[in-house]
Amino acid sequence: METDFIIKLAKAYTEELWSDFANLFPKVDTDDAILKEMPDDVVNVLVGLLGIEQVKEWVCTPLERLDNQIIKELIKTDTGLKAAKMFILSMRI
Amino acid sequence: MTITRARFYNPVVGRFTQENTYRGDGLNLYSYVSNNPVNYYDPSGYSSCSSKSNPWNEFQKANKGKFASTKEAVEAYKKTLGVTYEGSLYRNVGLMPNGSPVDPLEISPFTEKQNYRYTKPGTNGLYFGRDQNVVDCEIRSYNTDPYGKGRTTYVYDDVKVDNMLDLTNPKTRKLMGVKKGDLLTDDYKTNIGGATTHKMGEFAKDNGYTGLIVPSARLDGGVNLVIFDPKNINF
Repeated sequence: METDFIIKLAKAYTEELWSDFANLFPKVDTDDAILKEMPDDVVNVLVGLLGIEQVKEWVCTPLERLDNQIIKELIKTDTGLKAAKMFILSMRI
Repeated sequence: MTITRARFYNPVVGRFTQENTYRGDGLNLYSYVSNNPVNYYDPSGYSSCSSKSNPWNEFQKANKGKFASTKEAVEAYKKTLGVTYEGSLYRNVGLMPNGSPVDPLEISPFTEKQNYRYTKPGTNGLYFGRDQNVVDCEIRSYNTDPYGKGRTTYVYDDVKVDNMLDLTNPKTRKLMGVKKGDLLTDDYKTNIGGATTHKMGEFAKDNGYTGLIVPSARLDGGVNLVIFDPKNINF
């Protein structure tokens, strides 16, 4: 569901900000079925930030700070993908 | 940077692994929550000013005839609000993308690129909690376990940080034209550079403050410190 916050996040997205950040993370090879369906750059960043064990659960969990959206579902639309990237860019973890 | 003064929290035993060097908290030297709520002070007298020594009046007196207008004087005064923080600082970090531990006192390459509450991408800052609850709440707010694999909470005791812009002080907020609520929203995620918190961070950095003391957005009553350049601090 595209809430106001999701739409605002997507509007704030810039390719330059995201790629500057995402390019710092090495490529991750994974056999996990859920992660394999996600864009490589998102997986690389999340694994780099959270570690592989935590990521598998994290992408399937409703995130309160993201209007209870689930990342693996959210990224299936262009707006959702941009919003997810901006959210990840702002996580202080 | 060598972390010589940090303590590490061990979640298994629920204790810190080293004795706290500060001996002012009574007999329990492993305590991590000070009972003293007053752990930073204001040498300028700003936060505890009396009617006899009002720092704004003192500033005006000392700079009589120097400014063309009151507005100009207020803008200059805003640059002189620095207070000194004294107390403990807590920071929880994970691993670098290559699996090595993040140095808690260095700006990592990806920190520099990230968009944080008071520091937009390209503006560096390290974020600390004044106590462990703040740090735990903030990490948990992103559905991340602060005690998960690869994560460590570092504790620095008896840290002294000069020239901080204290936005937990209502008088400072009023002078800066911001409300506490403006500092607690997540606008910084959708309005990069334009959000109130980003503007406060930019103001503090541009005007030579060491960092900011700010209300926690994740724990009511909690306090965070944002330090622009940790190399300037004796941890």
